[in-house]
Amino acid sequence: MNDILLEAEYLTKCYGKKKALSNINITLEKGKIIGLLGPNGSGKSTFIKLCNGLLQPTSGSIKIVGQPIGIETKKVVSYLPERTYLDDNMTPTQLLDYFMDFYEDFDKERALGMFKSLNIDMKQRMKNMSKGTKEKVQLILVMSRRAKLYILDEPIGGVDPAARDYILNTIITNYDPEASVIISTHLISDIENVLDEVIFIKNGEKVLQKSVDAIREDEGKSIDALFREVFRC
Amino acid sequence: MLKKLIKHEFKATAKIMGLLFGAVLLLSVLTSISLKLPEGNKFFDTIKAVLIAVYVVVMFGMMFAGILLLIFRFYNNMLKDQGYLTHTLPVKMWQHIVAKMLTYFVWIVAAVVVAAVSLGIFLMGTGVVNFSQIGEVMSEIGASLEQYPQIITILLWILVLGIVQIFANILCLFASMSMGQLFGKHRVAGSVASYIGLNYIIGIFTSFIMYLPMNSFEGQINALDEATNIADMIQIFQNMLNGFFVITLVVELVLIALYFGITHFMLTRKLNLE
Repeated sequence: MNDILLEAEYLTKCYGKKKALSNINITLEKGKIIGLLGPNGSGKSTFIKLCNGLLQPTSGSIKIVGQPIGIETKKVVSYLPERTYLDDNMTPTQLLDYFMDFYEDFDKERALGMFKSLNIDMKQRMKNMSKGTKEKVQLILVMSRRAKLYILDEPIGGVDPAARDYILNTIITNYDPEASVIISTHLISDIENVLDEVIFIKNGEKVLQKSVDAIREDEGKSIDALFREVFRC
Repeated sequence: MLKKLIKHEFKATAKIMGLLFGAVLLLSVLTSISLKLPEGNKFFDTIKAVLIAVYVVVMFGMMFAGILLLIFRFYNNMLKDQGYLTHTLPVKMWQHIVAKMLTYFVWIVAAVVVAAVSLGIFLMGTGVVNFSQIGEVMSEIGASLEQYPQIITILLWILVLGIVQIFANILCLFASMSMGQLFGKHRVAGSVASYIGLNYIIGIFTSFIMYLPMNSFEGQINALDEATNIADMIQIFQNMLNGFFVITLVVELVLIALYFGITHFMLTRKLNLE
């Protein structure tokens, strides 16, 4: 069972009396692109924050590469939050320097290549960039790490469709076969083709985890159609 | 990793602090020179007044800049959006806290040094101090220190306590801001309330503890009355101070440990970014 990358057991997170996640069990394997899908407030972000050590679970546990969340997992998890999290006063050049200093797995050449293809000015401060450009910078930095697990929270929300294609392409082509990618989004139709597996989360509970092929075979419908069915209001 | 954190913290703050230091030194030189201008001329008087006013304002700005930067940077890096990056770096929490603490300690001390140098420059302009006198004053101070070496001990104590006090104050701000997270949507207000609350509670405790050496003071004060020469008086005075210094040092060190512990606990176990 050496193919297991992430293992969450009986994971529960409460905010006061409100349960954001209740007793979730999730096992993820290496080399997969996994869609973490669910409506707003379903617990996706809570799960992602727990994986990154930004929250502590109320009960239950998570292990990534066999380790509890901590320095060792942070070394191998590359995380893109859904907000702009970079220092506004810094330029891409300075940010590159920052990421290289702290992440041993950072690939400078890969980052420079992507900055060039997306025509990003390396000397411009973040605060003078458009929202879309900022998101591109973040995504480039996150995808330029040779990580074991990429966790992307709403990675394509703010960018135009052309950049969206480039980014998705980058995600598929850049990660090595041992690594996995978790993508949380509600733009399902855009990423449907790249997913290997989906997890549906509803009201803090896992309602489904299945490979995309199996869904197409068993249900005979697209992920988008299934999502609309499961989460019908 | 600690070194890298410190390096990046300095990089992010060096520009503004450097600018302020430069401005203060430049203004003290200009003010100093302007004071040499002849008196009674309206134009010259205006220049002097404006320069002195700007100098005072920038000087105050510089003295508070380190603390303001510390507050903004800690809040933004650790508790706001940038926290999503800070807390996912493969770095231990104590390293984050120590890196920030050391960086701002250096800036605060540097600001004090720059302020002292610039005041010296300013005083030379007023004619109160000039270079030829400095040597004389220094040798006089040296002579009296040789005569009463206890003064050196006292000065060293004050220096050590000053340093420890700066660390305690920095960590108190960190602890208050990280406690602010517990206040849900009112984090800034929560931080301010935590700061006031912490200082209030600790103030009660420390004033109680500080009362302890007071009992032994009575005998010392009587001895001071009977002392006939300066050396004896300094010795008695030093005995009184020693008790006070030791207790202050212990209290400050306990506070440093307490504030550090609160900050560490809040940022690891209770972290809850918006």
